[in-house]
Amino acid sequence: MKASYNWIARYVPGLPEPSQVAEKLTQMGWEVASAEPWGRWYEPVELVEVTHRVKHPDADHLSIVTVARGDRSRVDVVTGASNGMPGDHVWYAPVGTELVDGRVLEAVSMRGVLSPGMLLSASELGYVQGPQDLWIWQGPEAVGTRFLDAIGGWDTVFELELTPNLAVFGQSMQALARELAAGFSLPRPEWDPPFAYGQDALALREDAQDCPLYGLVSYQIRPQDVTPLWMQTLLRAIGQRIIFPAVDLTNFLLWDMGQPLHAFDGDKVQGLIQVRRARPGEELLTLDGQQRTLTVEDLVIADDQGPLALAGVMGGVRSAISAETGHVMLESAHFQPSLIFQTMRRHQIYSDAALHFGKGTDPLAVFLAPARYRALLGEAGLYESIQASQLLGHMEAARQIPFEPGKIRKLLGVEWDDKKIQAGLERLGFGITASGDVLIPHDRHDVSGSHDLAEEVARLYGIDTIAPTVFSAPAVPGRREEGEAYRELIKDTVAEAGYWEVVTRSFTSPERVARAEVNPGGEAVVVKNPLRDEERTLRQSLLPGLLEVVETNRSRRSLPLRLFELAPVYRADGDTPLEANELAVVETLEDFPGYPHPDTPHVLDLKGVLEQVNVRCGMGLTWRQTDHAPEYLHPGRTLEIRSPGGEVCGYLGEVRPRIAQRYHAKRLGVWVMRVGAAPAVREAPRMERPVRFPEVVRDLSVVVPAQVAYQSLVQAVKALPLPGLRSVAPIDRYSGEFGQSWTLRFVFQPDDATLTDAEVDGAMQQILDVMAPLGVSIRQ
Amino acid sequence: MTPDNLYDQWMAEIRQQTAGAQAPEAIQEIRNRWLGRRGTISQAMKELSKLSLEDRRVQGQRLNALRQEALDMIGNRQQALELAQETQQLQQEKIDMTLPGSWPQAGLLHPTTRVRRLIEDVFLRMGFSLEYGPEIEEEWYNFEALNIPANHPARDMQDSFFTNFPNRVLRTHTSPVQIRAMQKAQGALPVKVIAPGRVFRRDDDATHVPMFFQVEGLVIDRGITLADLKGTLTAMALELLGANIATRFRPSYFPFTEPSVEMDVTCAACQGAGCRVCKGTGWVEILGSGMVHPEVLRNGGYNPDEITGFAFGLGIERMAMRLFGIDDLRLLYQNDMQFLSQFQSYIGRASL
Repeated sequence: MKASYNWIARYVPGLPEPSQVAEKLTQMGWEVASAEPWGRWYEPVELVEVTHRVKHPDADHLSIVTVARGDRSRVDVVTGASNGMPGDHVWYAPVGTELVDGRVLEAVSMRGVLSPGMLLSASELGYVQGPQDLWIWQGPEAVGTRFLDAIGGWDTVFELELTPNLAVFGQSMQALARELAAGFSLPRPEWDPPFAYGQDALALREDAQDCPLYGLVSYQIRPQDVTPLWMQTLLRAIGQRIIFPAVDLTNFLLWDMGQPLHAFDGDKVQGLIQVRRARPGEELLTLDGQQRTLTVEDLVIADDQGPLALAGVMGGVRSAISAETGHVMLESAHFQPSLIFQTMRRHQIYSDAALHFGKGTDPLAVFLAPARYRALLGEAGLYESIQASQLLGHMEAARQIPFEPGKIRKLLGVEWDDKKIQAGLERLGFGITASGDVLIPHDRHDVSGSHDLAEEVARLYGIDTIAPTVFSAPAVPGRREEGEAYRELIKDTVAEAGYWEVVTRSFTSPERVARAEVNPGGEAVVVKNPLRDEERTLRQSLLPGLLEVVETNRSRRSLPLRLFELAPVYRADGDTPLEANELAVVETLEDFPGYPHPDTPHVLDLKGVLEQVNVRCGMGLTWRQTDHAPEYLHPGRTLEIRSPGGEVCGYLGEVRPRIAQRYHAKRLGVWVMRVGAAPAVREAPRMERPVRFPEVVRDLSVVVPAQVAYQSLVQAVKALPLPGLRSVAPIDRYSGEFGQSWTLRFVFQPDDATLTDAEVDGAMQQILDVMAPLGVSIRQ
Repeated sequence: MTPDNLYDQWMAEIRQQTAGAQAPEAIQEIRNRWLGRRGTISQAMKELSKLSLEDRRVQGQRLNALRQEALDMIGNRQQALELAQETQQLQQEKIDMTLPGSWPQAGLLHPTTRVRRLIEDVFLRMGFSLEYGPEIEEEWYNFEALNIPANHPARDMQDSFFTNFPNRVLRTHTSPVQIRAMQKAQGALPVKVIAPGRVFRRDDDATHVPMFFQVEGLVIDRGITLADLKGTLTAMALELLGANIATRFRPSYFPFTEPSVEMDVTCAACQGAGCRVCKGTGWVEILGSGMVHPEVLRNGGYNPDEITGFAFGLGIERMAMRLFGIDDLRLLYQNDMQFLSQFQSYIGRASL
C-alpha cells in the first residue's frame, strides 16, 4: 500500500519528519519497503504573467508569448495554445524541467523561433482542470511562485507492506494517522460527527450476516469537471488516477478512511435496491468490461431488473455514474469479509474495494463516510441536497475482553506496570471499562485476547525495548533422531568417497521418468496444481533427476562427474501417500586426460564405494550379480542389492550406454537404493592384534572358464583349511587364445609363526586342486 | 727418518690421495692400499711385534691414532662421494614441481546441507532436539491446526501445491511439525525442538523457488516469554553470523503466533550503512517468529492459560546465501558443478 506523508500529516499536527515516521512505522509493524520523494520534478516550474502575445510569423497555429518571471526577466515562449492572453497567470517550465511523462525540456526552435521553455497545460502537470489549453491560474499566488509551493510542497510516499493483521484495519491514511499519533504520543485525531440516516425506504436486505450494515444516501449534485486541487495532489501521490469529481471523492474516502463507497447513478436504478445472493446463472457486466456469470456464492446489489454490482467488489456498467450524473446513490456498507474475499478470488477481481472489504473494514465508517462525502461535495462546489437515506442493520456494541496485565507481562517477559500497559492500550484506541474490561475498537477485528493486547503494547513501546533473556530448562542433551543421524552418516561417507551432493526438485513428470527408462512401478503422487507440466508428479526415484543434472552439466562442459543425492521419494499407496528415503549415486565412467594420468573410473570403483559405505555405516547390505536388472541397466554389469531383511532394495551397475548418451555421457555407473530407517549392523567392541611374523606372498596365474565367477573361486579357496591365508586378490587379468586368465595374489600370515616354503607350496597345491573341478588350470 | 716423521708423511699422502679421489671405487682402492690386509698401515702394525715392549706401547698408540684418522678421512670422503653420486642420479628424475597438484577425489555436501547442519549444531548445543514431519502433509496440520482456517486471508500468502490425495498438501512450511512435536510430547514439558526440512510453495522467480528448506523451532514450557525468544534467537544469530552483528526485532504477522516478530540482522553487504541490498535500511530480515498462538497450543494438547512458548522459522537458503555470498537463490538448485565446487571451504568464511 502507498501512503502519503502529507495526507497523514493533515490529521496529525506536529508529525515528525518523514524519516522518523518511517522508523516509527517499522517499529510498530508497518514494514516500509521504500520512502520516495514525490513532486520533486515540479521544482523549476513557476508562475509567470503573460505580458505580450503575437502571432508566429511563419505558423498560423503558433503564437509567441512574452511572459514576466518572478525575477522580472522576460522570456519569449512559443505556444500552440489558444488561451494565455496578456494579464493571465500561467505556469512556465524553463529549460531542464523534467515533465510528468519523463521528458526533459530543451530549448527548441519552432518554425525558426527559439523557445526557451514551455507554458504548461494542466495535463502536462498531471492535473485535470477542465477544457482549457494552458492552465490559467486563478489563485492569489504572486508571479514567481513555484508550482510545488502552490500544491503544498513535495511529499514523501511510503510503500508499505501490510501483513494481513494490519490490513484488517490499516489500509487508510486515517488508520496510519491514529497509529502514528499513538506512536509519537501526539493527540489522537478526532473525526467529524457521524451521519444521521433517515428512514426512507430505499433498500431491502436478504441476510444480515452477509451484510451487517447497509447505508444508502441519495445526493443531488451539480455536475462539475474539476476535483479540488489538493485532493488531486494527494490521490496522485499515492498513484491514483483522477477521473471526475463524484468518483474521485469516493476514491479519496476509500484511502482516507479505508471505507469503500459505491456511487450508483440514482436515475438508472429501477425500484428498490436489494442486497441479496445472486441467483444461479445471473449475469452482470462489470465495470472492467467483463460479462460475469454469478452463483449463489456471490453477494450482489440488485434492483428490479437484476444485479447492479458485485457487492463490495466491483460495480456494474448499467448503473455506473458519469461526469454528468446529477443523482448519486451512495452506498456505505459493511460486508462479511470472507464472503467478499472469496468472491474476489473466484472472479479474480482484485479491486481496491474488495481488498478492503475482504480483509476488514470499520463498521463505524458506515456512519462517518456519508457525512464526509457531503462535506467534500460542498467543498468541491458540487453539493445541492440530500434527497433520502436509509440504514439497514445496526451497529453492534464494542467487543470486550478481560484486562489482564499480568498475562501480558508474562507473555512478553517485561515488568511494565498496569498503568503503563493501560496507557499504551488507550493511546491505541482501546478503552478500559469501570469493570476492568478492555473495549476493543470497532475496526480491530484482529484482536480477541490478551495475547493480541500483548502484541499491541509491545509494538507501541517497541519490541527492541524488551531486554533479551535466556530461559532455563532442565539440562537434557539435544538429540538427532536416529534415522536422521544414520542418513547424515551415509551422506558424509559418500561425500568422503569423492561424490558431490546435489539437491534436485521433488517434482517430475511421467515423460521425464520415461526418458530415463526407469520404471518405478506403483503409482506416483500427482500434484493437482503444478507450476508446469514437467513438474506434475512427485518423483518415485531420484535417478531421472540425477541424470538430468549430468545432462545440464555436460551440456556446459566436458568434465568427469561424481554426484549423489539422499532424499525422499514418494509413492501412492491406496489412500495414503508414502515417503521413503533413497540414495542415488551417479558417476561418469570415462577416461579423462590429465598428468599424471588418472585411473579410468570403473564400475568396480563404484562397487567399492558400496562396500566401503556398507561397512562404515553399518548398513548390513548384501549383493549379487543379476541377469534380471531393471531395463535401464547394463544386463551384464549389474548387482542386485538386498537389505538386511533380504528384500531387493536397489541396484548398482552401468546404465545402458544408449540411455547414458541421452544425458551426454558415454558410460555411467549408478547406485540407487532405498535407505533403511537405521543402521542394521552394530559391531561389538573388539580388536585384532597386529601379527608380528612377516607375511608370505605368492602370485598364481590361472586360466578361468568364462562362466566361472571370481566369487566362486574365492569361496572354494576360503573353504579350505589353509593355515594363515589372510587374503586373496586379483592383481591382473589377461585374455588370449587360452581364454581369460587371472593372476591372483595370496597372502599367508599366520599369527603364531612364519610359514616355511614347503608349507606354502603345499597350500598352493591345495588351492590348485580345489579350483580344478571348476575347470581352472594353471596358466603355462 | 723417525717413525713420527714417517707417520706424518703417510698422513699427508692419505690426505692427498683421498682428496684426489673422484669416485667411490677410487676411495675403496685407497682404503685397500693403506688399511687392507696388506695395506701400509696394517703392515706397520704387524711390524710392531718386533719392537721392545716400551717402544711397542708408544708406537702402537701412535699407529692406532694414525689408523683411526685415516679411517675417518677415507670414510668421510666416501660418504661425500656417494651422496654426490646419488644426487647426480636423482637429478635425472627431476619433476617440474610447478605442475599443478592432482586433487584427491573428495566430494562435498551441498551448501544448504552444510548450513542446515550448522544451524542444527547451534541448537543441539543449546539442548534442542530434532523433529521431523511428512512432506506430503495433512491440510489440518499445515493450516487449521496452525490457526489458518480454510477461508483465512493468510492462505492467500502462501500458495500451496495440492495433491491427488484429499486433504493432503505439500507442506508450505515446517510449522506443522510444531503440532506433531507437541502431540508426541503428550503434555510433557519442556518441548524444545527444531524441525529442519523441505517445504514447497507455488513460486518460481529470482527470489523464490518452489522447493526449499526451512528450520522450524519450538519451545514450550511454563513461563516462556517474548524476552526469551529474543535471547535465544539473538544467541543463534551471533553464533552463526559472528559476534559483530546487531539484531533488530520488528512486529509482524503469522497466524500461528501472537505476538509475531521478525528478526533483522545487520546487512552483510554494507555492514549496516544502508545499501541497495537492504533498501537503505542497513537491516536484512532473516527469520519470522513469535509467541505460540493459544489456539496452536490447544491443538498441540497444551493449556494456553498455563503454558506459553515461542516458535520461529528460518529459511536455510537465506542463511546459506549470506554465509557463502550467493546473490541468486536459483543457482543453489541448478546443481552446476562449476558453481557447487567453488564452495570448498566448509562455511565459506574463515572466521567461523
